[in-house]
Amino acid sequence: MNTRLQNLADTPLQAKVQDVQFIYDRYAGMLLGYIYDVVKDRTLAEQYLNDTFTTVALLADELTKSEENIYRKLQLIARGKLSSYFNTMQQCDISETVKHRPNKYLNSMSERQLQVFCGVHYHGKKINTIAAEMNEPEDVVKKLLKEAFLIIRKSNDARVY
Amino acid sequence: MQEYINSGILEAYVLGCASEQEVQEVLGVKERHPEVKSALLALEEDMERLAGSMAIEPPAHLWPKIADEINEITLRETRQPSIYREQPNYKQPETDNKPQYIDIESEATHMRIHKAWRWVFAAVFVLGKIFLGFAIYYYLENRQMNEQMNELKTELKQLKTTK
Repeated sequence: MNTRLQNLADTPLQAKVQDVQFIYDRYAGMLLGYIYDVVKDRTLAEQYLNDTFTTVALLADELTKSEENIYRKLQLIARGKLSSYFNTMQQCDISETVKHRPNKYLNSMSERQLQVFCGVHYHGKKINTIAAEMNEPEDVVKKLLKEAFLIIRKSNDARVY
Repeated sequence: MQEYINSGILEAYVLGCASEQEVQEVLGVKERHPEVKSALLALEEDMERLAGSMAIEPPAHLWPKIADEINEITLRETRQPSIYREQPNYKQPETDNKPQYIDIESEATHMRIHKAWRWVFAAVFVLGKIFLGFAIYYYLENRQMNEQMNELKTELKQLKTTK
């Protein structure tokens, strides 16, 4: 019986890198844009992107075979990496967020919608935290979040038609 | 169900800010109600749309760096002997009471040693040079003495023959 210690052949390794590269080619730009909007530092954003994709390598099979949206999963991984950064962030400055990188979707939102959306999306806050900050019930915060999403959809529909 | 969809819980789920209880609830409802599933898909598309509009082209040097790191991680995992990996359903193979041997083949051509050994190697090198110097010196001196001895012998022979 030959029980030599074996390394995996090159093929599965290359396959894994190719799987991740496929995801990277499609989503890295989106993810870098998101991370940059959170950290507002290009080098740091690239470092977080790097960390995110090395984690993606461990979950590549799960990501590609699952029916769930890949970008959402990637963003959740990135949010996990950013969790300690979120804790160090100051209060969400809405005008600063919109001024920093103007975007038609964000520009179309009201101040309250933006406060909720930016708080959740760019500052990693939970609904109950924002509700406490705004002194509003959680249901109202969720409604504002819903409205923010409707604006994103409507802005896109307006562009298409 | 429309009320549930309009509540904003799906948006919180998509953005990853829903509580664990809400996540489980959404996943359960999603399986039972196709309209919730399609609402979630639409929200995920909205997220992608927003992300696409804010995308930044990653620098060209980033992917090779990530690929190297992935290779390193994967190799580190696969090189770990199987005995040290988690094997929840591991069963001892049948041995038939015969001794089991493991052939270990090392591919490395280099060895690593402690840095302290460099002083030992330096001392051995210097002492080697000193001994070599002494050896050459005594060899030359010995040769010179032999020549002198031979000269003296021939002189003595010459003296004896002249007498």
